[in-house]
Amino acid sequence: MAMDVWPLALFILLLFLNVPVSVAIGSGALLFFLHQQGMPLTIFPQRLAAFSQSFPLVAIPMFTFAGVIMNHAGITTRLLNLAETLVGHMSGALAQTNVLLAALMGFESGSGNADAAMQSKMLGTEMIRRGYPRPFAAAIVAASAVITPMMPPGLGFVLYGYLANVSVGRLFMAGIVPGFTMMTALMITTRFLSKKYGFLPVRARRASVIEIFSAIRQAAWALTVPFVVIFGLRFGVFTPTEAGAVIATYSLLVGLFVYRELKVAQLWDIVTEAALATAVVMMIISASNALGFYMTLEQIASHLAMMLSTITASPLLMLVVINVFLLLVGMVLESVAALILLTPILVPIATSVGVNPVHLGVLMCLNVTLGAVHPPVGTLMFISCGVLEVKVADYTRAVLPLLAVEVAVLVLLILFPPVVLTLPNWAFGPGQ
Amino acid sequence: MTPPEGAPVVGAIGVVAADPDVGKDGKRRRVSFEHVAMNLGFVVLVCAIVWGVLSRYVTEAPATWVEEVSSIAFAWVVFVGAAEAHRRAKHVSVDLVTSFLPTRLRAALAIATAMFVALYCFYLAWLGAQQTIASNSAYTSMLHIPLSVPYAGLTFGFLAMGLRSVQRLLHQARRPGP
Repeated sequence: MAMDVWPLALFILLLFLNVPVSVAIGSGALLFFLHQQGMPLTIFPQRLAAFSQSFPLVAIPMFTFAGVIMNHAGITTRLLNLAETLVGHMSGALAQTNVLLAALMGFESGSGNADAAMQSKMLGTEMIRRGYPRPFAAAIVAASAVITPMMPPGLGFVLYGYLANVSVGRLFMAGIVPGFTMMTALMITTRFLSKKYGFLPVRARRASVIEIFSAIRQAAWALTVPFVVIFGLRFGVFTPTEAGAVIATYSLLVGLFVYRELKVAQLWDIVTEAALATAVVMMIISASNALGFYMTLEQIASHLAMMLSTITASPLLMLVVINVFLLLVGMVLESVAALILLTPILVPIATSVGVNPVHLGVLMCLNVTLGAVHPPVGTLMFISCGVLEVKVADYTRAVLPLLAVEVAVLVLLILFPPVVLTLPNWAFGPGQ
Repeated sequence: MTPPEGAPVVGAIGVVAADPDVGKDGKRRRVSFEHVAMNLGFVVLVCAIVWGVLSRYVTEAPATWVEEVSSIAFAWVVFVGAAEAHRRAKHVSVDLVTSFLPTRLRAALAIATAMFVALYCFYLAWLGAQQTIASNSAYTSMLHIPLSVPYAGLTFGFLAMGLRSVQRLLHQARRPGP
């Protein structure tokens, strides 16, 4: 059967004509529906609204809301203070703080986009003020935001878990060691670059134990969040979606009554910010659902599966092939859309040759997030370059060494599955 | 598409774009209907989920209607929120290729794509309206809410997006220069 490629072609054409990503994807899908004989066109709006029927996806607005509240409630600034206390004595201290804060924020909110937006404003502008080159500041903000969604509660894991029918709690645990590995790799690279460019520390000497203890105590309310999430999910107290709502409420109460930095009058703007960010991401998911319908009917999945299965039957080689494919996909497809469209296709292919779906989930989530760091469809890049007013060409040059290190970490995670799987197997017992 | 005054040059997620309804003095001059509907939907969504958890552990009778209400609120937040995001030019788009084009060509292309977006939105509003009418006689199982309610959100959202596109095009046509 000849495959109808026009929907894909239209989508890519519109994408590069600067049409909003969700409209480009939706138009491709619509073209397919218009060409189907005997299929009522009202199936198209049904596919677009299909996301609202899935309770797990409500986790996206909930965790986004929690993240936005934290940025306004004084929780983020206390974590920033903690990060600066820990690494302020290093050369390139602001950049190091940025990387560490991305990891700490990962345990709170799990949206790389929210992290990049916050860090661009808080640390990016400060780096530029202290003489860091603009492109470097934008690059380190975007590159470090890759760590955030790897820590529990990462939004990518919620999506993948829902699509691949894998335990979200297990995925959350699986992301921790890779997240810290990524953090360490970026900190070593930053140290090297900072020495080269002469970026200064912000503290004269290493913080004393008392100073560190005091910073931890101030951030204690924030530091309990990841434990609440992990224990709540591990012991079935709440679903991932409910965890998001619980954390949002918790942050709201801490901001209003403990830190007293949040004012009721700010709530309107907080809701606006969270709802807008939700709408933008969900519109891409919604349109991808419709395009996914086309990919299913046209049996693109089985074409791809057949192609991949003729290449290899080895789990390791399959992971290599899938990851190279995903890195290429990252050149044209936005990361959320890539996850929505490709998870249902790639999971059965990979598991059929014996790849662990949790291992694959961590690799896929990391891989598609890398696509958000580089042009042309890098959302993290758009955010940091937009806030810090950096040209994409300058940014790209600055981000390349950091991106190379991130790809190296990805390779490490492919080669050594225990780095990913030991922690979830310990917490949830062996299995999937 | 040219973003409205004060908005960031890119449609970035998470960036607190300059609110087009807030003046230079920081005071709110007006609030759009989409904005109110989006925020209202979001509050309903959050309250429903929180009540779902609370009712399970605090009250004797866990709320069974939570999924129905949250599903409808979710649809409204996303589609009406998409309209509000469109008004603020916050949707993600890729300007890598177009940024290399000559200014005049880029401006012409921006108008053409804005028209395309408007047409797409109006067509979807039309399809959405048909689906809304078709699903009006079916109801949710717990609260007996017509299934047309979430589709009405889709229809309204795309209609608002289409109208805002036209509004922006007219605004650009009246303003001289690229």
